[in-house]
Amino acid sequence: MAVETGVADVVDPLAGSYFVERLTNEVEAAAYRILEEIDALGGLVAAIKQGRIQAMLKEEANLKFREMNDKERLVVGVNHLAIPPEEELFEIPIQESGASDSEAIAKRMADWKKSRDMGPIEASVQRLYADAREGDRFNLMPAIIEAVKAYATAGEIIGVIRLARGLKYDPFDLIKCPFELN
Amino acid sequence: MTKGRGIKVIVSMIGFDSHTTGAEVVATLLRDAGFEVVYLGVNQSPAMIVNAAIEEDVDVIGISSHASNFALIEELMDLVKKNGLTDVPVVCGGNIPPNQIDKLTAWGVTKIFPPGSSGDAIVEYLAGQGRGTR
Repeated sequence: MAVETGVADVVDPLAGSYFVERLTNEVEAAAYRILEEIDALGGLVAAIKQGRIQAMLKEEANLKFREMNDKERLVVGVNHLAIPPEEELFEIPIQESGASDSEAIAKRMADWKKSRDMGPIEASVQRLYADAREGDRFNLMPAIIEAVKAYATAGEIIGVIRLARGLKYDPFDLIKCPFELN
Repeated sequence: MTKGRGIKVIVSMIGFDSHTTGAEVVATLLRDAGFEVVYLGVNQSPAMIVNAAIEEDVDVIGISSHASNFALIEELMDLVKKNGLTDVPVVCGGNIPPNQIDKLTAWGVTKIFPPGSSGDAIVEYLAGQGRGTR
């Protein structure tokens, strides 16, 4: 497209188009309004703590739903020029998984866990626990990689990091930490 | 809007599904239409939803589903029956494929709102599900 149209021969091919320039200015102004609002709240982290970012996303979702519902906003294939169901040529097959599949995987996992060599796992999570208490800027990746190589599970790794950060091993408090950490 | 006046509806996620946008949009839509909405939020087990339905004495249970938690909905329908809540219709909305709609209906789900369902259709249907109106 760049070769045939020559669109890349100039720095900004759409510069000067009133339509494009005006839309760009509108997006820019709207973005600055939001950024200023966030700054006024004390920055992004403060805005999240106050629930403002969540509220903004919710307002936007509600607005989008209302506009699509009232056909003020047209989305081709959804609320405009959508294919009626009887014209669909074929039904897309969907892979289904039942509760018994999850149970089978859980049992396989439990059996596999018993077959692990626990020495290297315990040594690696011990190091991870120590590293995770070093503060926010400390790089945990080396300790995590070591733990993965020793066959610690994702749940065990996250759980140990959570404990180091003063949280519960399991957010639902159903699983107790299987390691003696110090 | 007063269509939902006097009708109490649970809107809940089920299992570990955290795609809350649809459920929250519907909860807002129903609130604005005059329904009394009890939004349970994420990480709700079937038992938690049924307990909430009993404690809050709701007219309807609305479940948000994201195409992966149908086994939990089956469990919920069992609990609804076991607890004698057969007069509380269960309605599901979300990314539900056509072949699942028949299964959910067979388990006793009274109405499914797949993607693209209009706000009016949801409000109209639920407005007819209050104990005093159906």
